Amino acid sequence: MRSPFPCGRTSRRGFLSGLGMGFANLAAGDLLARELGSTPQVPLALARAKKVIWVFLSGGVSQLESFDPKPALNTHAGKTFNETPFPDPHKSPVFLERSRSVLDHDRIFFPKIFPLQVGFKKRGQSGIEVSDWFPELGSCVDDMAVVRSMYTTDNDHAAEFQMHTGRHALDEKQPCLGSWIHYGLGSLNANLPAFIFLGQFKDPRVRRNIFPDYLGAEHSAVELEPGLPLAFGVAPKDLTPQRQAKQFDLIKEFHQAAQKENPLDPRIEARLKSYELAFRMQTAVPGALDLSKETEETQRLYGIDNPTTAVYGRRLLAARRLAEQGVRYNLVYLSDYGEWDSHNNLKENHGRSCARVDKPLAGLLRDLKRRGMFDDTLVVWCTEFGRTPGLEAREKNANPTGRDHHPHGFTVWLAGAGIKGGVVHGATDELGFHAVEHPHYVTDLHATVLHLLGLDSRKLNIPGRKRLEVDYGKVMSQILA
Amino acid sequence: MLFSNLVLLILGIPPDPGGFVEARAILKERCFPCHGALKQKAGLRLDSASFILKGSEQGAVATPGKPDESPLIQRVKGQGKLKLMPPEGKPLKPEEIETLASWIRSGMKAPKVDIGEDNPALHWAFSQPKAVEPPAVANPQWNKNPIDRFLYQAMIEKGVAPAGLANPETLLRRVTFDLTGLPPTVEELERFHKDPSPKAYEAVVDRLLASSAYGERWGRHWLDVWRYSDWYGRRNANDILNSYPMIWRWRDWTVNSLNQGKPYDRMVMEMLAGDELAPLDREVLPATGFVLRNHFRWNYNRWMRDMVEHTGKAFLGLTIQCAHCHDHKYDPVSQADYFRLRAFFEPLQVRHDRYPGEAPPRPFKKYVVSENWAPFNTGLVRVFDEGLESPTWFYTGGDERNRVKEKGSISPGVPAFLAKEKFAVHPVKLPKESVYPGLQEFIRQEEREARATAVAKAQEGVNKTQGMKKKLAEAQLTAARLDEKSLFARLAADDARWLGKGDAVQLAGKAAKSEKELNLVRAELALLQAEDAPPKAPTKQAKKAAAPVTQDQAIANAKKAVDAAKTKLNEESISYTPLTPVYPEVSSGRRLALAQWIVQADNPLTARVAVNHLWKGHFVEPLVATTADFGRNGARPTHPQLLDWLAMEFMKQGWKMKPLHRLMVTSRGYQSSSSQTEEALQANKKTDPNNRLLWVFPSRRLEAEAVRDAILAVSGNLDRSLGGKEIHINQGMTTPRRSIYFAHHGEGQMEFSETFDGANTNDCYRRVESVRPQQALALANSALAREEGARFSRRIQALNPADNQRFIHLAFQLALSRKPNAEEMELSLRFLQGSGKELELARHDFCQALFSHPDFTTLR
Repeated sequence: MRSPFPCGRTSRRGFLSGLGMGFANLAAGDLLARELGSTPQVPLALARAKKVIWVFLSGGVSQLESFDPKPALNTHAGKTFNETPFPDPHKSPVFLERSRSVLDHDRIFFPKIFPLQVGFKKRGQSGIEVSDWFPELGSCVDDMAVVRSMYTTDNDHAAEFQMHTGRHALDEKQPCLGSWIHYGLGSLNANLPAFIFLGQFKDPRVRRNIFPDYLGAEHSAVELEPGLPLAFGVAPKDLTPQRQAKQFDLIKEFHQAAQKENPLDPRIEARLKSYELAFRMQTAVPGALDLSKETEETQRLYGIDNPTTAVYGRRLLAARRLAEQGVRYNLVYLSDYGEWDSHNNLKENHGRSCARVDKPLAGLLRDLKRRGMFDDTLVVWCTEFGRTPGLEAREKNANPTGRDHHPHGFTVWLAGAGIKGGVVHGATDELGFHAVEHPHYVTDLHATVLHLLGLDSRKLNIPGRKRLEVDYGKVMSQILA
Repeated sequence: MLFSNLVLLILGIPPDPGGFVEARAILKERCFPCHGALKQKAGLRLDSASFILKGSEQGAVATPGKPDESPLIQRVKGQGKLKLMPPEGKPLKPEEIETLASWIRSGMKAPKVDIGEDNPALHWAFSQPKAVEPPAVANPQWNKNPIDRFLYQAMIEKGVAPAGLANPETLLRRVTFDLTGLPPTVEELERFHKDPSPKAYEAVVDRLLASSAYGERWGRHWLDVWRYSDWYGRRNANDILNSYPMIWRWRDWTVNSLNQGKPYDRMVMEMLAGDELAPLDREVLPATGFVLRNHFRWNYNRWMRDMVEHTGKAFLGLTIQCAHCHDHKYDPVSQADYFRLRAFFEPLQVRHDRYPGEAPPRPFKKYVVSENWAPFNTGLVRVFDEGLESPTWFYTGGDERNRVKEKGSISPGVPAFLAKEKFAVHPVKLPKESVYPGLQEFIRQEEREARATAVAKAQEGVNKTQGMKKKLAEAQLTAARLDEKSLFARLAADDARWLGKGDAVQLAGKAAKSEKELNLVRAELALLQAEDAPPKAPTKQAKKAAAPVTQDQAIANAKKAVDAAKTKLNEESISYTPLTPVYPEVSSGRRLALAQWIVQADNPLTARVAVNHLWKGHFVEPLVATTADFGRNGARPTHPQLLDWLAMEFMKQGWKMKPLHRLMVTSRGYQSSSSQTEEALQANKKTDPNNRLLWVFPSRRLEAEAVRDAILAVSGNLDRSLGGKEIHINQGMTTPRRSIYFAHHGEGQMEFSETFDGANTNDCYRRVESVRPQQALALANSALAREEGARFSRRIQALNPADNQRFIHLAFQLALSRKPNAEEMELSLRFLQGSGKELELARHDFCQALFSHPDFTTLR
């Protein structure tokens, strides 16, 4: 379909410079737009990464059965923490502070040690230990910086919200990281949105995690899924493309006429641009999501040929295509809501879930690498919290075989642009309980990502909205290349 | 600052010889909250050079010329044993420290003007609004309405030229949307066009204010501020966590109250304490939805926190929540004040009342871990004081587990700087019918009617049945009659217990006995039923739970139940089932006291905050930009005297909103055009580039609700029915009700609402307005825009327009409330080509395209 707008591809600066008159909330009203006419934003020159693929696994992935195996759990299996030579984790001064409940009562503490449910090996040149449930991903470990010392403060699933916004659910709401990035940097591609969410977007429990809050709807995620259309992104059935193009022409002419009448209204220009972008998005988005344009070999790389890995493989391949085309922040849910929440049957549940994501994730890393996208694309893999070293033995459960929520220590990893590969950063104690070496709260992960994108988290501030010290986080400089 | 310094330098007067101004900026940012006008920890102030020279209780903090020996510098560097300052946040950067050091090194010279911060208690918003006389203005256009006298005076002072009058069509469209959220009709337009006199305009305003749509548009506006939300939490699991089902009655209360012209002070009181103020008034009780909206089933503390935060923001324009973890950094609100405010809400609990004509709502039950709490759809939900003895604990770090027990339970109170007199709370004795709703006549009546109906139905069953089943039907009739008898016994016992009619003990015994008899008859009936028929196929749940019950087992069980009921029959008891739950006889009176204090005439904040919201709804930019923060860190008013005058006028008018709306929209300022001549424009922009002085009327985009409602109004499909249960968000494209009636909550809102910046249910003291491609897509591709476009086209078609020109003319009038200009007519004519089916399609496309016309969604 021909573009109804003569200007075709607009440069970002051109696109934004049309906005005028102190009207702050228009279009891709990001920092750059705000600073146009004053000084160009200096930190961008220092950006190591241009785009992010942030993979989230919901429910709480066990650090112990993924990237932080602890042989001591096998040695002391069945004993309580007190019966080991190690300090009682419950008595740690940080225990209370890092296990705050949304519910008005404390969570049960499970002191009896549950052995590792899967074996592990040293993998790659770096020899980082990875669980046997990640055979493919284990082979990519030399590209990864594994951070084993994350902690959060919510011991229930609102920790997911916390991972995206940096705040405990009982505290004042904050915009999610993706919205801040959108606010701070805007888009790299005039035809595509800057913040895309791929996953279970119809689930309200997930949606609240990607809420722009006081930054406003313009900084919200556009929700996409391979095979599903963009919201309002498909022309009405009874309107042919030719007729819709004609209709767009008329709308554009109405805008131009209105501009003559109302030279003071900056909205008209902004709206004209937004119509232009909308029209281009209508074709660009389906194109970006069209995985058939990829070779069969690439599709296999992501496991799309296998029913177990196909859904998540498609999501990650779509994310790569979107990142390639300049989508700044791709948040990919690689699970159903709460999928990893293995209170029981951890062996079976985690084993099954690992099998769904192992190949697609490895495929993504290999694909990015061979395309040279590691130069400007950052991959983050995370979950909301880990799982308890103790066995979740509840009264009603005759045969407990799972682990409870564990905010005190869990693992995330990063790979790609600006990241040192094959390193482990931070550590939990011998039992995999507390993050003891270089402990990092979730906003440290935010700060690291923002830093790699060339943004100082402290610059992300809206007048009249108080951000706290904890919101800014600290950059994990040790994992930066 | 730099420029004026330069001027002073040229004149040979060094304004700031030592560079204190720069140093002060750093101190202001990091040190003033504890060492400024608000607080003087260790007796130290750092907000002027002379204060710094004075030092602290412990002596000098800086020695001129010797930064390295100055404790001030040592502290910010964290040297030696001195505590690092500031104690919170990042340490000062080396360059910042150097700025401080450099000023000390150069001798700590004071700048020309060396004054500390103002006394916080004298902050403009913390003292009473002043009764100001509107300035005298000679210009006859601007001297009638007091608002204009303030606006015009400000413009004259700054030398900006006001815009001319808006044309009648623009004005009518503006005022109609502003007051009703809907476009004017063609008839209204024509009538006003014929007579656009001030008298006619005033009549229009009165008509709009009298329309029920006024309450809908302004109701939504206030519900933004009061954070309306339908229940949410875990919608997927059908589990209520936040807010509450049936809270829509609060929305209807809001709309109705506005339409009835209920004064604002009364509304505030009803929302905070309707249950104490009018415990039996079903028109008032839903107002406590304001309190119930913050309910959070999983954690009571969260409810309390939201109550403090949003009572502060909504009514007082104070950010009290900042004092949750520490004393407020800008305003004189201490952490203790925070908990004193919380104490007002401490006794809260939820209550489900019956509503006439509706089935009794499910009884309230407190949260049990991992038990779902499903929504229900009858009754009146409200709050009440349950835990009169509930202590309010002071805790630290924002974590309720860190109780400071030594402080004891905190009593309710308001911040000292706002308390004019001693704060008193008087418990409220509740009427019996509120304590025990079972005394309310409608409930008794409905219970009696239900029994009578059951008896009649059972009698009919006996009449109709023959043979074997007859026995069963007769047993049913016996049970129904006994149930009725038992109800009468219970009612008599209630009369005795609550109203002193008869011997309470004896009648309670009778009621108890009647219930036991009823139980026995019911058990016998169940036995008959078991004998009569094989048990019903087990339900899904029963299947999961256990093996299906055989008929023999069922009979055996029923026999056991009969035996048990017989045994019970002989037990002496005076306990019988009340018709409804029984609640405490006294309410703490805390919320009522708080509400009364909020709306007391000498509260400096309440009226100002309210009129600022009213102003925002008409003039787009509020007088105080930070609508929820009138504190020292908030914005200053653009027109302080006007704000004060409006606040005083509001109270003088008995807090009635309609007179204020009328005053605002009949002002000359409101009737200004949104454009200005090129010459005046250039001149005005130099002085006031952001139009703070309102030299043109600020245009705005329609709110989300109005975008959708206008589409439906223009197509003629808008369903104007008022009120009722919230409509599911998925119905937004297909149910033509006004947008305010759709569900709107923390987990979702209608697509159009989300796309066009509908209220954020977390916090919406001011909406944001964005322009984004999704809006264009919604108007281009949504089923709503497409289908209403077709309906719009057919609507014009039905008027039999003579030709395309006439069609276009009518379409513009309906959609944009004005005629097309020559260029638009030409463009439209070119678009509407062909004939027959082709033309019909083109007209449909054209009508839909008008929804994307910039003037459709913009108010000028």
